[in-house]
Formats: sequence, structure tokens, C-alpha cells
Amino acid sequence: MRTGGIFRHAVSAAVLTLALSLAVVPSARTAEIVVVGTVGSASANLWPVFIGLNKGMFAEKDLKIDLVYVQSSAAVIQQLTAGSLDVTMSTGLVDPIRAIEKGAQIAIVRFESQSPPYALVAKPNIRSLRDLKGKVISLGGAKDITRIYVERMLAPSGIKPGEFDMVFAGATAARAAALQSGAVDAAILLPPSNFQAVANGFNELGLTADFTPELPFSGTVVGVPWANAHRAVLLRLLDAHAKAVAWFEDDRNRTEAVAMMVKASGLKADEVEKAYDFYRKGKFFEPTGRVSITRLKALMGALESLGDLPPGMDVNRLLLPGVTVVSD
Amino acid sequence: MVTIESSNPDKVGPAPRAPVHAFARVRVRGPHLAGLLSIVAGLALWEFFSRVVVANALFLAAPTQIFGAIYRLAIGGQLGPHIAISAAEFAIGYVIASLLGIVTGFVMASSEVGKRILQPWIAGLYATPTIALAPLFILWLGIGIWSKVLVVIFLVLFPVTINTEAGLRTTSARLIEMLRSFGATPRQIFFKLSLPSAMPFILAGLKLGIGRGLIGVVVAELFGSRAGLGRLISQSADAFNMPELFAGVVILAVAGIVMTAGFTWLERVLVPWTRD
Repeated sequence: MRTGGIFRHAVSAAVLTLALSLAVVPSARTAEIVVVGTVGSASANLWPVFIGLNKGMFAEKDLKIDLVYVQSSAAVIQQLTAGSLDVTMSTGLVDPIRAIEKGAQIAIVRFESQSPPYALVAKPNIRSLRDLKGKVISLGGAKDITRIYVERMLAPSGIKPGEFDMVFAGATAARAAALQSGAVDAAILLPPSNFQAVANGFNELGLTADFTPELPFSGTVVGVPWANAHRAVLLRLLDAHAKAVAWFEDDRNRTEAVAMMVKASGLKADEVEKAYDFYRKGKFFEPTGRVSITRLKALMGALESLGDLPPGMDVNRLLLPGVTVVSD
Repeated sequence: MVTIESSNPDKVGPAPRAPVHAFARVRVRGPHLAGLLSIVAGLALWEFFSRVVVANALFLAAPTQIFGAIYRLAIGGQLGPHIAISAAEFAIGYVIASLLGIVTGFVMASSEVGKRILQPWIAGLYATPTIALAPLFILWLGIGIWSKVLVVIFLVLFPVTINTEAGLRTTSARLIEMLRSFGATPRQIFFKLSLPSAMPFILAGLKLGIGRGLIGVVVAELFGSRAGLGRLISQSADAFNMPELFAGVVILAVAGIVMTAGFTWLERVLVPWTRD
């Protein structure tokens, strides 16, 4: 009997101790996982994302980024529309515009790049844009934003749509590989792939920013149901991204930023350095994330002229009230 | 139920034609009516599901939207060139593959050495994901129709070859022996016995090749093309235009149904003894 009593007392004491210890241990906030989709593979466009991941800016906001690469801009928006992704980053803006017009429950919440940082790079024997008539050019997709850029670049040289052939590869890395293997005559490339191609003897025929300065390039797009259910998470994500852009724009971080992209892309340091300087000089990353309605309407006009958008679509359908901040 | 009547049982001459009741007429046309009703019911269910349940053309286009897209594309002059290009790619590839396949099957069936030489290649290439080679074919042959023709050839060749060889090999040895005993020459044995015996297999292989060839055309065009139904499907997908995407898919499905039905008719004509 005495033994049984001691045992009961011991069990009670253990349970009490356990309960007290649980009461005083501070409850740690688990990081919110955000599934972020983007196109292809590592490129300079994703620099702020890599900075945010490497410098812990997302972690500071209790965010864990699950980065998913999808083969093309259209495909990444399809996945977002289907709910497989929460957010997309570095997404060409034409695809979400088309999807929203067709009823997709997605919205543009920030501009990441106000103008396109692409370059049109061609084989060594092709020296000018005029020489591209009848040639094969690698673009991102049949309806991709890169197609709009290339057609605008070729128009002043008298080359109309249909006077050159197109093959499609959603990611810059794939287009660069196609160009350097000789499979295509030219390709539209993002930095640092264009610098790598030029270093290998290919010719840079022009920059898209010189031909289409009024057209914006990429943005952050969200699924509206997810955004409405996770408004605070979304705002923290955008805040972390803005911090990453500010970090990129700080000269003191140049060496570290270059090292991050070298590791992520596998390209040479000097090519990545050129990409860094190009992005800094051209001020390609939008520091505030604000959406320019003027530029958005210019892009919608381009889509209307292609017959991809009905005239008079309300630009506000593209935005998320309470989150998207407009600049004009 | 049929009733036969005669007013004069002793009358000499052809028997009067028995009246056929309406029900019997319906029963004779039953199989076709059942198929038609099945399609109509399926389309109606699809229309209801997409309009009422899904209610978003971005995820599922309704049949009426699809037919509307087909009409608009046809009237706008866009559909014709796409169909023409894909049809040409399929037809050229299919004919080449069929002829090559039948000849190769014959070689493998009639020569043991030939079979030993060709068998590993046939087995290996049949298992190869040819679709994955489409970008390579574009590299070799360019973005025009010939890269797509080559994909179709690769996809159609092997079922035709394998079926032809199997059909020729399964010719009854006893019947061959019997013809030999009657003094038939090898040529006579081939044309009177082996070939007719193998025909059902050859036609089955050709029928299998239709679906594979159509898939080959579409997928090859997805990788790079100037026009074609595959290009239409991929462009529509990129533009989130599901009715036009389904328009391309429906046209391909109808083409497959029509060609398969054509081969079924050909089977009835060429190998009537295989009918139930």
C-alpha cells in the first residue's frame, strides 16, 4: 500500500512538472510557407529573390519560400490560376493580363521591372537586325511577351511578323543553349546569358529597352483567393522583396550579390558582374513595386493590336485592391 | 415480329414480300442510333457540366463554345491552313511509314537472318520516347514539315512492322504444306495464302498507326512549327483561349474517328471473313 501511494505521488509530480514546463516554453511562430513560381531557371531577374533567401529577409518575416521553376511564363500563370502556386515572381505581364481577361482569379500586385532588360543576340555571321529576315529566332512562347519585344525590334528594319521563323523555349537558359548549339540563328536573352553569348563570339543586335521603353516587363502576380485569405503574409512577402531590391541597389553589396548569382546560375563571375552593372545602370528593378497604370495600359494596347485582348478592358481588373499600389 | 400472308395458297410464283413492322426497322438501325445517342448525350452532359458546374471557360470550354470557336476560325480563314499543314505532315509520314513497315515486316517474316538483324533495332526504337526526339529532328530538318513527317514515320513504322511480321508468321503451316502438296509455287503460296492471312494483322497495325501518327504531328508542332493544329493548340493554351484549344483537339479527334472508321470499312472489304 505504501509503495502504491509513493508511485501515485511520483506520477502526479511528473505530470505537474510537464504541464508547468509546457506553460513556460514560449510558443515559437512557425514560418508560413509560400509557394512561389517563376520561369525556367536562375536568371538575373530573380536576383532579389536569391538575395531575400540568402540574406534571410524572407525568414525575418517568418516566411519560407518554396521556389518552383516552371517551363514558361504562360505555364506559370496557368499553375497560379489552378491554385498550384500562391504567388509568381518575375512573370512576364502579358500572360496574367490575358488570363485575367478570360476570368482567372489572379491579380498583379507589383511591378518588378518597369522596362525589359532583354537583348537580341545572334550568330556571329548575323551582324544587324535586318539580317534576321528569314532566320529562326528563339522566343519564350507563341504569345509570350518576348514575341512582342522581338516584333517591335524588327519592325524598324522592315521585317514583319511571318518573315522570320520562331521556335519556343520558355527559359532564357534554354534559348541561350539553342543559340550556342547552332540550333537557332538568334535568341532573345536576359542577362547574364546575353553577356555569356557575346563572350563566346555571338553578336548582340540590340536591347529591347531601346525599342520598347514604354512597355513594362515583369511583375509579382498572386492568386486572389490565396491573397484574400493570407493578406498579412502577402504584405510581408512584398515587404521582404522590396528590402531585397534595396539591398541589391546598395553599391556596398556588389561583390556579395555577384557571388550569389554566380552560385545560382553557374555562369562566370565576369559575365555576372556585367549583368549586375547593366541592371544597376538601367535601373531595371522597380524599387517601390508601384504599378504604373500608363505603362500597363500601353501593354494592354499592344495586346489589343495583336487581337489578344478586346478593346476597352478595365485596367482595374488587373489589380488587387488594398495591396497593389499605383504610381500614376 | 413478321407476319406472312397469302390470299391463295395454291398460287405459283414468288412468295409475297412479308410486311416489315416499324419496330423491326428500328432494330436494324439500332447500333448506329445507339452510337449517335451516346455522342449526343455525352455532349449534352459536357455542356451542362461546363456551363453549370464549372462555369468558367478558363477551366473547361462548353461544346457550344468550341463549335463557335471552330466556326470563327474557319470563317476567319485561320483554320484551313492549320488543318492543311497537319494533314500533309500526317499523310506523307503515314504513307512512308506504312510502306516501309510492311516491307520491313515482310523481310523479318521471310528471313531468319533479316529478323535477327532488325529485331533489336525494332524493339529498341519502338520503346524509345520518339516524341522527346522531336527537337532533335527540328535541328536536323528545320522547322518546316519534314521534321514533323519524320516524327510521324517513327511513330507509325513500328506497329505496322511488328503486326505485319506477326501476321505473316502466323500463317497456318498445315495450309502451306497443303498448297505445296498441290504444287503451288512460293509466289502462289504468298499471294493466295500468306498475304490474305496476314491482312487482318496488317490492317490492325495500320489502324494503330493512325492515333500514334496524329499524336506525333501535334506534339512535333508544339516544339516548333510555322502552322498546324499543334501550333494552334499551343498558341491557344498560351493565350488562355480554351475554346480554340479544344477546337484543335476536337478536329484531331474527329480526324482520328473518321480515319479509323475508314479502316474498319476497308477491313470489311478486304478481309470479310473476319466479320462476326
